[in-house]
Amino acid sequence: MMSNKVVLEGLTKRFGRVIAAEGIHLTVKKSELISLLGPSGCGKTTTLRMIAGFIMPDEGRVLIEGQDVTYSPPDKRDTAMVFQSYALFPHMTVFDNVAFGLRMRRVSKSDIIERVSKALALVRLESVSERYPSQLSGGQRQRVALSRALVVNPSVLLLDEPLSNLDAKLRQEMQVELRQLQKELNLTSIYVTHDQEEAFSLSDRVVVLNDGRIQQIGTPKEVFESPNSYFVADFVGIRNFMDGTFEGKTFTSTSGLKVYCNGTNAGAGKLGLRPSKIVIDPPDDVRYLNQFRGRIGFLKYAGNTTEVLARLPGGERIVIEVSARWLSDRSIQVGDEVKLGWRCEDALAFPD
Amino acid sequence: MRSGLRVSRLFSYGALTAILGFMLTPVVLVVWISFFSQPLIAFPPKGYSLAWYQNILDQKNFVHAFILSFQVALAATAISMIIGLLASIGLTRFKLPGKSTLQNLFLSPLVVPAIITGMAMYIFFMRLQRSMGIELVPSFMVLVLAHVVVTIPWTVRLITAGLIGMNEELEEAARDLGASKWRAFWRITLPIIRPSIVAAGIFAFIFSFGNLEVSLMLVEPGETTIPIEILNYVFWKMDPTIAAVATVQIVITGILMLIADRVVGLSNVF
Repeated sequence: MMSNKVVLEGLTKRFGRVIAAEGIHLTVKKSELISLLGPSGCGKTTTLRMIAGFIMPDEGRVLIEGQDVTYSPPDKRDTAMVFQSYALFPHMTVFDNVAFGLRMRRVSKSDIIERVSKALALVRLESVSERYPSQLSGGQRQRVALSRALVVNPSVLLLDEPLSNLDAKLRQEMQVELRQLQKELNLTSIYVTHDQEEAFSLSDRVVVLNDGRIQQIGTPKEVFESPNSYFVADFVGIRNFMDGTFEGKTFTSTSGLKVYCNGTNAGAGKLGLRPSKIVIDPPDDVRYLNQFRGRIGFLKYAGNTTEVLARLPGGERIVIEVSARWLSDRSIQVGDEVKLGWRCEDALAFPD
Repeated sequence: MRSGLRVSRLFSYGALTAILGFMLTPVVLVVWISFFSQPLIAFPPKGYSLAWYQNILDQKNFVHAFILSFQVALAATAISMIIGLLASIGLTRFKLPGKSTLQNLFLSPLVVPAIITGMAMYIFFMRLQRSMGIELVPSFMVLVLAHVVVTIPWTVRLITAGLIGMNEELEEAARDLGASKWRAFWRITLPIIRPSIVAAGIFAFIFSFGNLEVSLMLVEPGETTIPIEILNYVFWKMDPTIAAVATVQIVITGILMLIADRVVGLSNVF
């Protein structure tokens, strides 16, 4: 019946003159993991904190399970948050940390023992239940924080950059674990992150925010492949942009470069190209209609991939990403002149 | 290069020893003198005795003064801690207009010479007494009040530091998990800032216990605190009794410091 767990209706929050969030409309469905993605200061944390009840919005409403909780204090809302700092109570054991929410809800002693044990087992921490947070590793602390939030069975789980304090390897592992757990338990979750890869790999849907406004909502694939604005495109890793004008399917850059695109893009003024979509020595194929000569200016080695910086005849600088595998078959050097190409559908048009 | 390093290390150790010596020599001397057998203080001592400690017990006024000092310090500490805690919560957790002014106000007794504070309190309560017709100076209540004024900078400062140093997200986490404001404070904030609160209490006690200047104006004859009693005694006599009294005071303060260190680790406080 209640498939909409959380509904945000035009949430707006100003801090003095700064607009932290403006007109945030969002519906989070049951069992969905939705990410709020954006650079720092984009309003994602403010939005999350308005859902949790730490911040009261200036305008708009927050509905959880159909109930208006806009002005309810945090302890009267059925949310549970995992904090970036984990916020584990340092003077309590792991068990007592996890039991805290249940004690506040006046759950009986025997039920507490049972539910806490279950919640700790879920994150494989049964063996450390009598330790204090200071005696745990970063990954363990993170899992305690998660378990402490899960144990109260919240309508919606709120996660505020929960993995950003872990090292890269552990973060990857935790992403998988978190997602599995979330699916297993059918947890409706809202996940705040500034890491687009994290957002894409975890979420059912991604909400991209900038300057307090929602820029785009969509599945990770939609956002990644068809960003709807220059900001989103830039944020999701489209590194090459050219200014110019569109005429039908043809784009003419300010320097006179002609690029063929798909669809009609009237009114657009920017062309974007993802570095990984550009091919060096493209096949003589109609699909690679856009072909240019470029001179390699710089190679930036990054392990799995290498960034090739090249300059087009019109003077445009262009970034190409090639895989380590491709590079092992070929040898390219700074100063080489190469043929570059991309398919029409990979050239994306954006309004200015 | 290396020898330069050694010289500078030698120098800093030397400086450290000199400073410590400068600070500790009087204390050591006082303790030493309290065991001299002869009434006239002279070096080297002719012998050692515990007579001066017996002398303290024999002189009712010293025993009396110790008890009064203890009572005043306890009362002042309790009040100062409560006010300090409430003020610190207000200063750190609420948006108050004129917050920094308030903060400075709480710390201002540190800036004003204590003797001036004592005099001001005396004049103030004298006037109040005249207009109200009840005896205020000297009285136990006013003495305690005065000690609250001089100890409050310590309690406010230390507890504020504790509250600022605490991750506020811990309170939010508690609220998020269903704790009311009050329960979050009781179950989370208070236990976490306990070291600061204990330290605040101990410092308040020590400063009240050793306070001379403020008390000077506000005690009644024959009902004085220990620092004043010492001063009175020295006025007429100069024998090792004073050293013995001071030693007792040093021991009390020292024990408190040790407790503080055990409970909270003083290095955590500063």
